[in-house]
Amino acid sequence: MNQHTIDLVNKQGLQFFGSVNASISHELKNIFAIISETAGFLNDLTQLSKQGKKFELSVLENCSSSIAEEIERGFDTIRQMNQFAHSVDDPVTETSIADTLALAVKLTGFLSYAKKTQIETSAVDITVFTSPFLLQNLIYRTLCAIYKSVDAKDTLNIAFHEKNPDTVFLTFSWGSPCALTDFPDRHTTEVAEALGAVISISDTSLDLTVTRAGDSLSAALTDGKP
Amino acid sequence: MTDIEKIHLLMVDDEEKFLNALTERLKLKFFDITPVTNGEDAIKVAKKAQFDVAVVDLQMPGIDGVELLKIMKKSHRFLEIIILSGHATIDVAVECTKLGAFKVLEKPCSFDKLVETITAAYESRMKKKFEKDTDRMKQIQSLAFGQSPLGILRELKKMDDDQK
Repeated sequence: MNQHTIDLVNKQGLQFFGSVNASISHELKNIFAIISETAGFLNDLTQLSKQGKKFELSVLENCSSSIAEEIERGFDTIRQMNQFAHSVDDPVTETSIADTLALAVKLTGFLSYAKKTQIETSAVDITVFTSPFLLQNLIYRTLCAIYKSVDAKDTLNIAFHEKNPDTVFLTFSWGSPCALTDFPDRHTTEVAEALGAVISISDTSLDLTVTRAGDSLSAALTDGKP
Repeated sequence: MTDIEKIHLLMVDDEEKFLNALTERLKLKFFDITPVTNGEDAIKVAKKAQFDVAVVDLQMPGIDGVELLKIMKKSHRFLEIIILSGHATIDVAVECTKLGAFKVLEKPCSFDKLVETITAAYESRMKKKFEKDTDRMKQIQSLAFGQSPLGILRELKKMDDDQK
């Protein structure tokens, strides 16, 4: 991978980092908005109660459980944010496919156009020696492209398996045939090339073939230093 | 406050819990509220009932806030629309204002500010409607002079067609 590609990938990486953080902050704003309005409603009820107005206790129970649920949702979002932030700790490392997919599905789940998605859980996890951040970037871009194109009621299924000792095969499939709009775009192609990944698309599925041992990627990203 | 005096409010947000909490609070402030969780339902209910103000979330699956704003402003000319969003950037605010939004508020927004903005939007709607009604009255009065009854009816029909 030449310097030009490294620079492009770094620039895109920063854009990716920014866009994911924007969607996380949007999710947190929603959570705070719900907590704020529910707490405000509790305060309104307290004022009404002081004026002698009566209301069902179940209203209070619903409010408190709603606040507790939103706090848990907030913690979950922050856990994902933390996991994503740590994906830049090591330029290249042993990376779990199952974990990377799970995080990408959660992060894209914050987008308004996200669709229902299922990851095949019976598969044994596979690790690849690659850049966790770039792999996350590639899977995130792939999911976004699929979500934007497939039918609103469609469910996306994701499966993965070891194709041979050197490569891992990820399959994204959906029900109603549709063409992915402008995908892979130039940025995605550059990230895929940097990872040594190959994208092939049909009207009901997308296959991603990822190299298990990214030695050339490792050398490029670490400048050949151990 | 009687039902007639209540401000008829349409709330559109795909965050159901937020929608429910806000609806309950606004009900206590004597608003008449219809909550819906998507743009498609908002269009349907707005065809059946008349609303004074709509509070619309920006990012929703299907028809988003900007698209809904365009559609609603086209078919309900006096409806004032407030955009409430977690993505309220300056660009979004400029775009929505150009498209006719009354105001763009950032989520989470203080409840008092929201109530104040809804009330101001309602007053703006009433003012625009009053001005339009006054113009219409003037036009009708001018028609009454020098026209045959059939001529007056023809002109009234033309006026109605122009306002659609």
